Amino acid sequence: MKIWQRNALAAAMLPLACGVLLVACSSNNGTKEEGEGASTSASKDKGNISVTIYDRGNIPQGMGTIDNNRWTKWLNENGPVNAKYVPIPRGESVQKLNILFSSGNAPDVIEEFDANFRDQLYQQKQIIPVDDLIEKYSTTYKELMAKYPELKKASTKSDGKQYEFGRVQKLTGFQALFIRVDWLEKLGLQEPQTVEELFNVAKAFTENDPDGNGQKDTYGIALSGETGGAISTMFQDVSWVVEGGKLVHDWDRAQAAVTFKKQLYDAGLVDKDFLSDKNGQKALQDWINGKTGIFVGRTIDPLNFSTYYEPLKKNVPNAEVKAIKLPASMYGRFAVGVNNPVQMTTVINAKTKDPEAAMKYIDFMASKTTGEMLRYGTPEVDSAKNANGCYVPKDLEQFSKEVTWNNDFQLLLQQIELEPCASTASQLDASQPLQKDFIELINENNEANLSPDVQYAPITYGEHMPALPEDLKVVNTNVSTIVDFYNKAIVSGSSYGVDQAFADAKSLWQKSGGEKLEEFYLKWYDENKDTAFLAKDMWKFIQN
Amino acid sequence: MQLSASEKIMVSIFYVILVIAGLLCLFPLIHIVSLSISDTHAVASGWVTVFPVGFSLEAYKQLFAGTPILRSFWNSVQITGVGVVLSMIFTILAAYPLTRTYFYGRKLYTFAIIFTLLFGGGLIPTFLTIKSFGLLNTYGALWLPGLISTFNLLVLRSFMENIPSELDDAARIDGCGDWLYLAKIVLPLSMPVLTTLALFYGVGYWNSFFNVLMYMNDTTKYNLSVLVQQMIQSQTMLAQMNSSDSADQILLTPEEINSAAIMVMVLPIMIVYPFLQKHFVKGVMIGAVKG
Amino acid sequence: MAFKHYNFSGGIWHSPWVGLDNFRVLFSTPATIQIIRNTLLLSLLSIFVGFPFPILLAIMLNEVRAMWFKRIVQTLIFLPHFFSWIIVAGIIVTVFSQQSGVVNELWQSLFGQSFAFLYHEGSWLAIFVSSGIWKEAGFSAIVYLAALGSIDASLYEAASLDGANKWKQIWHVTLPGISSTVVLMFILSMGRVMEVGFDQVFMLQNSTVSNISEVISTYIYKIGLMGSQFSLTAAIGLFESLVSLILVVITNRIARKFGSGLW
Repeated sequence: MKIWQRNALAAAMLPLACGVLLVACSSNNGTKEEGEGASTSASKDKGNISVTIYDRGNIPQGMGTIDNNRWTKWLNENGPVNAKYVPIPRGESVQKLNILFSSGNAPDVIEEFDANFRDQLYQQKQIIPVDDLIEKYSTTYKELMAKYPELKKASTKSDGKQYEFGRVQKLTGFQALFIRVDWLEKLGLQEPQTVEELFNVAKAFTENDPDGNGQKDTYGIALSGETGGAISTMFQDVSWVVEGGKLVHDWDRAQAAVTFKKQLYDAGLVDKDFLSDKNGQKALQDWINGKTGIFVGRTIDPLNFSTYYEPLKKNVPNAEVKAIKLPASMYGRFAVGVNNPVQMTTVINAKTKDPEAAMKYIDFMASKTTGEMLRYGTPEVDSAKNANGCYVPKDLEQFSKEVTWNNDFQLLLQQIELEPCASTASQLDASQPLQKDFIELINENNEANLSPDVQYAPITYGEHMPALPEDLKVVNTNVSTIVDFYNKAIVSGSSYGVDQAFADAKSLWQKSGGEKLEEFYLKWYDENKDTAFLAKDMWKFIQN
Repeated sequence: MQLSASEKIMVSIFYVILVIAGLLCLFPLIHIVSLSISDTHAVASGWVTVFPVGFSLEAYKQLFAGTPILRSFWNSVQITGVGVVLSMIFTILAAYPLTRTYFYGRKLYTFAIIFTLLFGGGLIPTFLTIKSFGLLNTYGALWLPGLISTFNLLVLRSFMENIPSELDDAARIDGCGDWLYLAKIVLPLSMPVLTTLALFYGVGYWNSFFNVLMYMNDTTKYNLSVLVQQMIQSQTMLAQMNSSDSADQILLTPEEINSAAIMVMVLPIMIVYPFLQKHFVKGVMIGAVKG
Repeated sequence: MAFKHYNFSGGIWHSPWVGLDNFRVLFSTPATIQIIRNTLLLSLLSIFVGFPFPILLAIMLNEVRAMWFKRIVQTLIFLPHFFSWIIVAGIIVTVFSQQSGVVNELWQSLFGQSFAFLYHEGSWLAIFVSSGIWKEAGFSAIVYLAALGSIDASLYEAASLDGANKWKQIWHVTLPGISSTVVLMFILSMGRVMEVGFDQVFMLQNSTVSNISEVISTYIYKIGLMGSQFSLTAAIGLFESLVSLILVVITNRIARKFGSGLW
């Protein structure tokens, strides 16, 4: 039948036609230039580069977009190059960057927090070494490196060359161990200085009705979120420790930590559902409702005031809080948690056509004047000097509308150069009683973390640990499930004990090739302990 | 039709079960609404369970003033509107031939289509393909791959096959060609399933998030879903607790704004859906086969 | 990509070919078998247990007379599909919490002690499957509602004239009328078996149930956190698709024996 034949022909032609179309289209490699970008063009002498900028979807209405706003305009007008900003969604930054790199479209200057990702770029030769670049074209950053040689130390890769740019801040307390002093006083207790004392205080907090409401509804201590992490830190449970001059994998400290947590759980001193509390939200709510006696919060940013302190005082006006030192364990006395004083953030794409322009841009972004502008806004318009001689926002609402969200432009901002005005305490208003309290807490926490009788628990800040080669990454992922055994032991009473958990953990470690990890770290430490950026280098950044 | 006693009981049991099902779904909705209109402090302290605590439209105010929600809403409407129309046209045109038994190579095509249902190219190859079509940063990147959902295609085909062949024969005798048959008979009879598919496509386009993020470079082109997800993302990231970027916590969206954003996403769907329901009416086929 | 060691500079075509290496790495991981088993377990369980619900809902809604009731309930039950798992998981955790959850308060009044629903594998599994059903049943019911709408109403009349009561009508008219749809949906869901939704598992899982809650998608996520392993994830993707293909072919064979296959 004719119809039949006609249809047969169509059936055969269709895929053929599509195939031809596809081939034709793909050979036309879409080099679609995305418009002229939104940045205003300045003098023709300026170089042109593209830069990544995190997009968090939080630009207020009317302020433009993250790649075209007041700040991009200012940076382009006052900077040495024309910068086109490429928005990268914060939650999927690694994936988006992967796509851009794989399609050959990645921007010239990449600013990304994920150290593993940056290292991957290095491994795949997608970024250039910058020693010569700095030597020849840099002014500001070169000076910074002279002042802070750790900048070079922390950004040198295994081939001995420098690849990354970063920012320097002074070392301060990050996580803070908060305790309800009013409860201590009510029950006639002292600040706990050792592990046993901590247990006893937590017990009293749980059983002796410290909030005086006649009900046993309080938790001695939290176990989820950062509080759980701090308890581990107390025992120096950080996986890799130095023993006898060698970097080895630790089991004993981990076991001590898990045993202690199990004791807390079995004695009923913590929230039994802590394992379901994925991001510590419930623990936070318990704290601000005045139900928990010991809790780890933060003192690194003014916002921590309204997260950890203000709501508590609103719910429980008589609450009194102190930030104390982590109690001592048999392994020593450790800092609760500090920031990363030398944080690497920026690398340059190997396909950059104008590396000199990129270097000039980086110099500009790292300079003090740019930093001040980004952080404080236009003087007298957005902010004014306060009693301390530091710039503070003139009108908080207007400031959050116009300035606050430009954080992600500050990835090269050298906070240490802006001291003393950059510290968290100086940004709070001491004339307000609650804020004054929090300033006190910040100082207490700095004392707790930086005084000479506490050490840093791990050998260096997480980001400065060496990046693992490909095959070891899989091993690492596989052994990361060990923590499940520990958690199970904590909650399973007598049916699954700590010894059993560790036996299982060690067996998984072996089966997954944990020895290879051990070899790697051992070797790395032996070869690099004098040149790597370690805890002792971090401690050089204490300032008062 | 008179119902016997046992039938009446059965129907009332149905009613009861449906009420329970409805309530089970109602409570979380009320919870989210409550979160979005409660007092900020109450939300932070975790006091809001089912009903609102305090009253504050602050969340909505901040949502509309502090984020480009109106523009993304409009983008979502565009993406969904055009997307649904295009997808429906192509899906119908693709499903119909697959039902005609005289279509040469039918089995092959069917198998090929099912194959794509199961095997995807992966993120990078797909991205490169779209790029080579020059569709980056345009909505075409969303419409082209989404044009025909294999799932929807198969569902439509299955429905079309269920149309009794007597109708087909009758039409042919009257001299009706394929196109006319499709337009005048098949489509009207398939209204319930067409409405369903339009709904599915609509929801798919409305909710598309990952594709928009990956293919759009202009933040002005982001849709509502991306905006809302970006807010909720910060919650998930906090769950990882390995972020040393203190800005991640600083710019965390408070829960009540999250909830308000979710309401803005869900409300349009809640409004549109009841209007579509009238197409799920029994008896569309009535009398079609007689005579 | 699955058969090569992908890197940026080589792109897809020029990256070194490593054959089955990626797959070997994959299967040498001790946990792999368990992860695959979990994926199948969670997903097949969800499919089989969850399958009847949308059908039942659709049939029930179909029998209801009051239009306004029908519309309200229909809208309500299909809403959970739109709530993100972050929120739903949060609600579940609160409801089943040992100290203050509604369920445990009831449990305590009956048995005197609270029960850690989310810490025991059995109950966790039950919660997992039920929450999945709750979330999707209403949405899936839509397809069946459409199918019910295209059953010739005169068939019902004929049946009742022959003396069939409601039960018999449902059994002999309604069910056969939608049987092809049911089979279709079933085969299609077989194709989705390997896809156990990441969000649902990730939000609900915790350490104590890791033996059954670690699935392929969460595993890939964890690998991804360590640094992009393109080839490995591509290999996993390929494997997943292969399993889906096998399942779909098998199910289709079975369906064909009963007269209604996909091809």
